Amino acid sequence: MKYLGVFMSACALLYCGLIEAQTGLEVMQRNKDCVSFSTLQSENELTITNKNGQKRTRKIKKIESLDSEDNKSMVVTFTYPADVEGTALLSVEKSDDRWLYIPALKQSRRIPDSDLSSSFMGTDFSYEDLENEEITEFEYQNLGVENLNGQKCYHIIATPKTKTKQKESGYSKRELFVTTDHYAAVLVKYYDKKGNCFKELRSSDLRKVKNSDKWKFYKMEMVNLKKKSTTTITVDDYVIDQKLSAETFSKRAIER
Amino acid sequence: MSFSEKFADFGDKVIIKHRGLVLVSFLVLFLFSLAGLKRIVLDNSYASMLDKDNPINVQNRYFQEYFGNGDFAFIMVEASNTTDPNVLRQIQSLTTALEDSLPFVKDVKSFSNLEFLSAADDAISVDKLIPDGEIPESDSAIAALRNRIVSKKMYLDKLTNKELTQSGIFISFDTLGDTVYVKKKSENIFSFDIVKSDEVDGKDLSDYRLQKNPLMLIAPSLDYILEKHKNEYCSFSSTGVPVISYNVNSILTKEAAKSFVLTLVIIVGILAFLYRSTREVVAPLCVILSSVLMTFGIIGWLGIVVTTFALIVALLLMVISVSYSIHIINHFRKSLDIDGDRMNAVHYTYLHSGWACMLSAITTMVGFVSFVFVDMVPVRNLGITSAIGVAIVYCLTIFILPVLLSYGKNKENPVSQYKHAFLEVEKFPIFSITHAKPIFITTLLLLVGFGYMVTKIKADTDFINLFGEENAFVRDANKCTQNLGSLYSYEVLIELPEAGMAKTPEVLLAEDRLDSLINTFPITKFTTSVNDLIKDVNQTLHSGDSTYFRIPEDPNLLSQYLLLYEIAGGTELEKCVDLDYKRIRHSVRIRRSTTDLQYDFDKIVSFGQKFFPEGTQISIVGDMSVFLRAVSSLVKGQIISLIFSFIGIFIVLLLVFRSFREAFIIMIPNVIPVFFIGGVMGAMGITLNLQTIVAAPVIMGLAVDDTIHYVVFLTNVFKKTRDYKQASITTFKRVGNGIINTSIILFIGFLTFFFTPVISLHNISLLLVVGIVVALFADLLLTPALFSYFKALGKEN
Repeated sequence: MKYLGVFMSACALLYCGLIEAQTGLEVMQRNKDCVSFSTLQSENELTITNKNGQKRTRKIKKIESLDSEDNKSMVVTFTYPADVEGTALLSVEKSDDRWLYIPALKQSRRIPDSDLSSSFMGTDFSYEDLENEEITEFEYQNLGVENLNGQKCYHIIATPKTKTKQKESGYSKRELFVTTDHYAAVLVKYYDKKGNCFKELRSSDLRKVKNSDKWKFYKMEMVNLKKKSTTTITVDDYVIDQKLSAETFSKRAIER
Repeated sequence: MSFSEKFADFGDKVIIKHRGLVLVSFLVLFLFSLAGLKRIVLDNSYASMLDKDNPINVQNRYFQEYFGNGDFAFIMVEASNTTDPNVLRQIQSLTTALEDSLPFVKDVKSFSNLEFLSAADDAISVDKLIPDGEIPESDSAIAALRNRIVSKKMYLDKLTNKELTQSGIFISFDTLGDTVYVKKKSENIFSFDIVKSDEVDGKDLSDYRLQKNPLMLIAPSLDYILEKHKNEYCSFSSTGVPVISYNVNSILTKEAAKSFVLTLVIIVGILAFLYRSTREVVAPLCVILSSVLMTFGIIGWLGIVVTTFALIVALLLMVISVSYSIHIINHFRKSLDIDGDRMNAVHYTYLHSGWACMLSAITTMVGFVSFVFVDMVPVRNLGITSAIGVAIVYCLTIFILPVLLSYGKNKENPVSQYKHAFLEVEKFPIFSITHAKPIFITTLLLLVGFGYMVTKIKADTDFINLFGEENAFVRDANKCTQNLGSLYSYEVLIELPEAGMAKTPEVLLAEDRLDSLINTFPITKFTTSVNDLIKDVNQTLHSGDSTYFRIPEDPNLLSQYLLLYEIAGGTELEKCVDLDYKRIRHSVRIRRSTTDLQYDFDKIVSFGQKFFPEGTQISIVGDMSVFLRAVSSLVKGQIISLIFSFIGIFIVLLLVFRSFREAFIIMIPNVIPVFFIGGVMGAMGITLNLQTIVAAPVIMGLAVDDTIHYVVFLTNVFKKTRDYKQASITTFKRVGNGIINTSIILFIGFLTFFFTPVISLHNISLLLVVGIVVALFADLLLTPALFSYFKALGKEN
């Protein structure tokens, strides 16, 4: 028994040592690998709740794809409420193209790239929060493993590395808690340029996506601590890495 | 034993016998009161005018929950060309400084960061008027910018004039709350370290001080930032409620302090001239200063919140205190001159002026206490402060002044006969009694005339109207309001019966009609609402065709426009409509504040009931609704307080003189000054406001004081002579000079703030001076005639 205790302690130390041994960059690389996809389809419900408890709910169908150079293309089609049904947003990172289809006018309009720090469709998410993180643009510091709500997490501090990134980012730093098992960021704290934490992304309901080895959050909650508002995204289902036609991310497709 | 004798007995046996203890007790109380001065809370905010649970304040807070604070400041930029790169750079730099450093700032809007919706070919964007903050330098770029500005109907006459020589910077603020904590060491106006009351939890606030009315922190910072941005290319003028409130506060404080010192100097001069004795100057001076300090100290301990307008109380208390002191010293000297014994002189003083002063104090206090019936917190608190002040003045005059006078040697060579002062006052009752009828007729005619003018009085609480053009902030405010900006605003809150209705064409078209109605009101400067955004999107999506600057009638299109606006990066929507599209905010900027606004408000509400869906609630919120309620409360309050004063004073007189006829006759010469004051206000367009409201009760209290001194003496003499003429002559010989002396002192005392640049202080000085003169003439000419003609004290022998 005595030897078993010593052995288990040694294993635990070795395990912790292995965990600790990873650099921040390594952790974030694993995180990126875990969430990456070639195509991703989902049906989401977005609910914005303000400090008075008022809610605004929208339902969207999202199709995303990442090319070999990590460029993202995305189509967001609104399905609820009825008066905006069919309104669709196309965004192609590679060609810097953004189009919005307005069904009532039966017209598509090009809209310019928004500031990274500006709000995504009036929610508490910014465009920056939703973009595919380019890990070479940040410096990651691993502060060690911490217990967060009974879950072991790497405590990572991410700060913009390049001057350009520092300028265009809405944050001075981010504090991430990445689970040691699935490398999923369960909690992200966002700090403004004055160094005050003003937003928190709390992700939950981590599940393995059907027909895939990827794990994804089915509920994400962005809390704006300053405005005291919350945006909750709940995902009905994910379809991952399914082949899509080349036309999916075209102006014609959203007008259909 | 008569009441006067009982009073004199009390004076001898209690006050003078224990004079050492009385002085020590006074000192202890004085020091205790002084400690309360630190606790005084000044609050000049509009919200503080009404009780917290007043429906208007409740509705204002409800509005703020959804749309935030409605307070704003406005900066007008003037230059020969506001699109000149140098001017634009100044605007840009100022905008950044305001965003970074102004306390409570929520949003700053100027040319440098203005949202600009545009469409070119198939693209639409919500960008900045000056994209990426890069100031255009070339002529063509400047010309393009000018075209962008003038192409937007939304900007014209709001953010710029057509000639582009004036441009506005609008500053909006976060909800401030009632109090904040300011770090003591950070009290550098450029970087206050502020903790809001809802952020207090778990913070160590030992280094912080409590700031009531946080609005006051804005203007000094704004001034500092504007001073730093003074330049050769353009000029800045600022206005708005935060700027005005701060200036009202600081100017009134300075002017009141100046008047306070001047009044004090004049009082010392008068006392020195009248008595030529150090003791008789120093002793009343101690009483005067102690009364004022103790009153405000006790107010501090009681936690009564006062406005800066309450500073007028300090001046009034000084003058009332002098008036009582002169009665006391006159009687004391009279006895001392004749008898030579100080203790006897104190006894004589208590006998002849103790209860007369008490009656006068009670009647003045009744006038002030009647303010508790006014539905306006500052007026109520002003009444309570004044009443407490008068009580303290009375106590110190009766307890401390005779004690101070009692110390010292007796007079060695008393004169057998008291010498009368410089005026042959006995001529007044002779003239009065022999010309009773013409005096009554003249008085009646004057009363009718002035009574008519009373109906012309208007109430006003607009701070701008209470100050003159000699004040820089008034000039700036007028300059801004005559051009681009506005000083005041109100908000129309449209609360629809169901969520989602605020984006239906039915509602938005009704709102458009409401907007047209509001723009027909002469007082409206401009309006802003969600309709501006929707019309702008519609026009922009139709190649800038101005016929599309209208609300589309397709409900889906409307919703999709709003979504497009959000996706394109627009941020203004949440300022006009709440999250679930149930409440709409329609902001109206106005040229000035006036009571005529009530008609506009009524029209808006009745329009809303007619054209919006059934169940829609329309309410008017913001400072202007508080302003209107305050004005109507002032008028009602003045009427109620005067009625209570009349009744209260009448009851006191009835209890004292135990004769309905006598009490009624005493009331007549004291009501007349009130009519005259009202008449002067009506004739000269002096408005009823937070300061002029005190004029009538103060004058009534002071006028009653002189009449009581006259009547008390007259009653005693009449009992012996049973001849009105003779009794009046004897009375005037004894108290006439005292009445005239106090009136002259009150006249000079009130005149000290006649020459201030603050219109409201000037006006109250004028009214009090008029009141004192009328009260004096009523006492000299009318009172003897009334007593004699109506045989108020019984038949003659």
